[in-house]
Amino acid sequence: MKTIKITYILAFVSILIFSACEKEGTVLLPKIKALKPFEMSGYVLGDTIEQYFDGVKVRDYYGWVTLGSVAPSIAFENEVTTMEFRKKSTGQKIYEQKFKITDENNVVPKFYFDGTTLSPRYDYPVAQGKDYLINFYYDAPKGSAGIDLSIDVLEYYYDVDNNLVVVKTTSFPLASNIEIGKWTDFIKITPPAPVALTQPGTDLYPVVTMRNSKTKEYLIANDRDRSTLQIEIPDEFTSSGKVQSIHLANKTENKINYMQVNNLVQFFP
Amino acid sequence: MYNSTKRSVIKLLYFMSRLTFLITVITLTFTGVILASGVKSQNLKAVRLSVNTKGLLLKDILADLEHRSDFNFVLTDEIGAIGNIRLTDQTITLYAILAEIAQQKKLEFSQDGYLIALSKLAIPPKPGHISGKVTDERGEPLPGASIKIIETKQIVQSDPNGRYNISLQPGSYTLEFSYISFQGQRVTGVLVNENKNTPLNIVLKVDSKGLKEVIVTSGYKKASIASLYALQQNTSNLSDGISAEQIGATPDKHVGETLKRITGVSTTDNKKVVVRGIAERYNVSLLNGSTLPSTDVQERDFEFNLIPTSLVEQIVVAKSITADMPYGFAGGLVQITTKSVPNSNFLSISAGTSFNSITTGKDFMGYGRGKYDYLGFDDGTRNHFPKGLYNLGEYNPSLSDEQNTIKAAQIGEQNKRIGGTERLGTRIFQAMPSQNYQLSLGRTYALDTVQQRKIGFVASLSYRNTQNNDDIASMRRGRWSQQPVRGDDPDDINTGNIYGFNTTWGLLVNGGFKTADHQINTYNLYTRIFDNRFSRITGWTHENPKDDLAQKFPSTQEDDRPKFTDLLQNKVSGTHRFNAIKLEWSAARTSLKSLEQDAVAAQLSSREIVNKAPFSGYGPNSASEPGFGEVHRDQYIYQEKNFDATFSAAYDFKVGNTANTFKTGVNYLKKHADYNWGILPISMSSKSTVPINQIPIQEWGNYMGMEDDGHNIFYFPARYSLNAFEAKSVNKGAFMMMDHKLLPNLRVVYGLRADYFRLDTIQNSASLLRDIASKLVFDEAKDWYFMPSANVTYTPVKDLNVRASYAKSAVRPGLMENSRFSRFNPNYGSYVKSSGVSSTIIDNYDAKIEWFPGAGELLSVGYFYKYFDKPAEYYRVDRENNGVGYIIISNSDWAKVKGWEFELRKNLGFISDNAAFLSHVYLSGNLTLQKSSVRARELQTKTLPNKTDSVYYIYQKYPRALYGQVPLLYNAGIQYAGEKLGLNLTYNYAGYKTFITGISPDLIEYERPRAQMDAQISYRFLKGKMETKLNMSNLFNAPFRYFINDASTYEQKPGTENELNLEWNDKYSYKEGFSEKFEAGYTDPETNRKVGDRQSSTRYTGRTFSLSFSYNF
Repeated sequence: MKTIKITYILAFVSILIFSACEKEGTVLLPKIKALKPFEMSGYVLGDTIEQYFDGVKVRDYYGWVTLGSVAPSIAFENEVTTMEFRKKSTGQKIYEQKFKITDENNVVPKFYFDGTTLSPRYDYPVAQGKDYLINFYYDAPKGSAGIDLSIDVLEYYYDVDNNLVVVKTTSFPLASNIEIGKWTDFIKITPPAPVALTQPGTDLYPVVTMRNSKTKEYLIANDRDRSTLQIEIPDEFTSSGKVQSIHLANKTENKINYMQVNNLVQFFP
Repeated sequence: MYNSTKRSVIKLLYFMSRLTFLITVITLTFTGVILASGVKSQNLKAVRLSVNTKGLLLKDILADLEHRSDFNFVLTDEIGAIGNIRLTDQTITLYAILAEIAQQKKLEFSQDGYLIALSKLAIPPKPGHISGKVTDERGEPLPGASIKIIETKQIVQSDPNGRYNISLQPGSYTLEFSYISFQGQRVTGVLVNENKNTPLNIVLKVDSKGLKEVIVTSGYKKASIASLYALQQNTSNLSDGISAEQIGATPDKHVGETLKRITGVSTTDNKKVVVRGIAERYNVSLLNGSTLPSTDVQERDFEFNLIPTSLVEQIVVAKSITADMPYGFAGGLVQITTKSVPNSNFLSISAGTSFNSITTGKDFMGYGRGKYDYLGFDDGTRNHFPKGLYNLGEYNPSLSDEQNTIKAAQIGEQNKRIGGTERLGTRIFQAMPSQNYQLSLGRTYALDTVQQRKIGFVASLSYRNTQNNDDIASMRRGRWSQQPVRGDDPDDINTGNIYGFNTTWGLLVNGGFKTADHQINTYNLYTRIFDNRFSRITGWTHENPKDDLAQKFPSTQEDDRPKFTDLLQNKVSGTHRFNAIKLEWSAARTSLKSLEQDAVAAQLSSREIVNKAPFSGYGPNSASEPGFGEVHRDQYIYQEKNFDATFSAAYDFKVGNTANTFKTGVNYLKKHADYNWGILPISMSSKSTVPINQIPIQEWGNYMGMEDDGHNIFYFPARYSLNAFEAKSVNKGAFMMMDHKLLPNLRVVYGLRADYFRLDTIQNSASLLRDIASKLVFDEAKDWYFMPSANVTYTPVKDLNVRASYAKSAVRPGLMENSRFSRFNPNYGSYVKSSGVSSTIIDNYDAKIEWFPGAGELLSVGYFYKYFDKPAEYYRVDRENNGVGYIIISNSDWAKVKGWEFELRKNLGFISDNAAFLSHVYLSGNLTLQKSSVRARELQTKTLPNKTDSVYYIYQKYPRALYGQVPLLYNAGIQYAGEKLGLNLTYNYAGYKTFITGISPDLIEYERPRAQMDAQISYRFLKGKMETKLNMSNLFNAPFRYFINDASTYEQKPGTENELNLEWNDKYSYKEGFSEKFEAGYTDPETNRKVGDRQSSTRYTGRTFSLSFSYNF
């Protein structure tokens, strides 16, 4: 009787020990068959694009699409890798491209997404003569007011401590109440009218400034110097025309408010 | 005098008993002969018959006999159906036939004339035993003590060692113990089970009222639980302990888990013992009286998880010192006693399994396993360290073969001999429930009829496999980033896991032989542990904190340490009594081999590629990297062999009415340690064209041929990475001690010990390139120390002891504590190295009041004070001022430690006589309050005018707490121990603990207070033969949390900006709302930076539920 009991116990023990043995696990890092060069660029407005590879979301894009700090490589675990762009607001697939391990270069054609349609180019008019054409697309947190733009001609000098002293500002409105989330029409910028100096030893300098269209305060911290816009404006000596499509993105990072400015004409020359 | 009288009486009684017995036998024999002579025709012995039994049932055989004789048989059908009867002789007397059948088939027959009735022999129950030892209050045996069993009126006497063994039929008995001039004691309700032993040790107290007989009555359970307290009460030194019975009421699987339940004892990581808030290196561990080697190569420490609780009889922690203790300590002497020779035979088997809430059934990571990992042995896949490796310290892979001494082809061949990298890289397994089994056997053989000479053994084989996942919720130690870059970024944290896979075998064979005056025992313990700890921590480093570019994703540090440890101890000891002289001796050999085989450290860096964010991978080291680099596979072999021997002689004598003992003895302890390390960094030339980013680490071995730039990954051992340490030490001593019982209530023990120590370092290599030129500076003042000790015990009233003691002790450096070896420790996140350690001399003062209100009950309060001269401590230093630093062991100037200890164990039976269950309920608790202060010092060097180097110290003005200090510790528990059902609830709390110390508060790391609650339910089935236990440990899932007072919590004092060489306390003060204790703090809205203490490590171990069954055959 004891022998039988011990036999049962030993059998039970053996089953437990050997059922627990597991020598080969699953290797955590998947095997990469190839690492190939990759290129991609584009511009996204109106809605965020989500980028998926083989059904796994990797990142979001809005604004200028560039690899930036991302290494320009694509890893192949299989023979083919499928990339998809999906519209974030609806999840709708707007683009798909397959990459093969045999291809030496993997390039996503340059694209422009306007929030609805993905197209291979961004269209804009051609400047005639000495015309300076410009339009704006403004992004800001929901509920923000629109912005007013003006060309401010500053009469200034530098004091003994090399500080800039502005003695007079003469404003020329450029655009008013630019609304969030849509392109304005192209407007023609004309050189600001001549301004007379009021003091000896001063000089003139034109800047484009942004103001809150409701409060009329300078947009960024009510500070003129932080609320200037780096766009090109014509002057009396301009001999050829130019087109600018400016995307203004009002951002706050690490509690610091700033305006990111991109000219789409430079991306789509 | 009274002993010889007693012996004469016993001899006389014995002679009279034998005479009476002989007369009775002779009388009965003659009576039978006279009665039988007149009835010849009915005499069964006169009737001769031949009988054939082959294939016949008993009824057929008897029918045949009826037919051929004048006898008739009466029997039941059941008896008649008995078959398979074989007779040795087929023609014999009818009596012989019936006698042989009756003997074979356990029958009896009775004759009434010609009628013979057969019936079944009543099977008497097998007897059980009560055994134990009768001692006086000093623990000395009382030979010839009388033990009376009230129910049977049987009286036995204890043997010359005070031991007794009574064979009794199963039942409940009352035993009365008595001895001339001692208080008698009556123990009720002693249960005797069939074929089982009931242990019962009894301590009798001197009867202060002369010859008036006083009998103290207590229940069996109280008397049994009291045995450990009796030991505690009667030893001359202060001690606390836990018995096998108390351990059995906890969920603890190994001694490391149990120690924290003893008064004044806490543990670090359930492995290392801290006694009275004094860290592991000041405590000594003894297994069956012999020292245990250090299991941690870089620390003087024994990891108690090596010893399964199932093999343990009791653990006693001595806290004060007598001269006959051969090994110096300051915190406690942890004495583990394994199961010894049994009083009766037993065979038991147990099995158990456990489930951990954050481990079992979940992902369990690790590197490649071997086939025999579950059995605790390597299958050869970790063997990558062949002999005769080239030192490639001078090799430059960028140069041509002609320019290198060692050629590429030779390195390619060496790479092949070392082997491939198939085992490397993390795998995911499924964590299985833990399992444990144990088979124990005990046998005892009497060599004479009075059971004075006995031989016996206990053997036990145990197996355990556990898998644990420690969840590291925060890691900000050492190299890891100390605070998030942005206070509002919840993702900027360092987290990870430590996966522990452990297989433990334990084999114990203890045996003994004893006679009335002599006893020889042997203790043999072998444990084998395969312990694989794989830590995997992911986060940002202090050097490369999180950003939005290159450090957008965290890196991962992996550390796989498969360690095979063999611990073997063989010991033989003897005790011999020659009248008033008692000789004790022992010799033991202990060996420890710890083999860390194919220990791998690897780092995974992460970056972002188009379709992987992050894209992680291992990368070999640059061939220009001078150290181990980020990926290396190592082998560390530590072997320590100890031999120790002790001899002592004690002489009992009387002067007037005082009982005295003179004791003297010698001890010898020799240690030898070898440590060999082989570190194989895996490197790659800068010219390499190996597409390393797309090759899994498991396939790196395919690119190690060194034939061209496409195959130039190679193992890069250098001189410092293939090296060794060897040392030996001798510790010998002699002592003289007097033990006076001056009055019935006053005992004084004092003595002097001379202690010699010498440590010789035979080879001491550095393990890092930067340490090759470094030199250890330490100052061992002298070899011999003379250490006095004195203990006084005063018993003003019954059951109350007042104790005081003083002793000087020396704690010697461990063999490896003066090694130049250093290694990255993933737990600390930094390197650990020695700065040179010398002996610490400690003056110990103790006072204690103990009250034993009833059997198994205790109320005590104690105070202690210790002065440490040159205490060694673990310091965090940052000499390079890089914010990371490393940990060193070094001597401070002095330390003072003082504290209070309280203990309570009380039965609740006193509450009400009507609630019987209350007598089964015990409340227990202990509390330790401790405070320490240290004067730290910092080693400085200067060059003297004669251009020789000299060392001096800068002493710190402000004292701080001693390394390892825990100022508040307490345990509380409630236990119900019924006949079948047992319930146990225990609560353990440890306050702030100084984990790593430092020269200033911003380097000191503390462990935050931690409370753990455990519960157990047990039930006995099958008449007590089977017991099942359900254990629930760490019910609150209490984490282990550590912190450092971050620089953001203090500010510089005004006016100190231009002051140099100021101590921290002079230069800084804590900001409003912050102190030395833990404060989580806040995020500063202006800077978006965290202001608060750095949570250096937070680790969760989960709740564990285990179920076990044990069966006693």
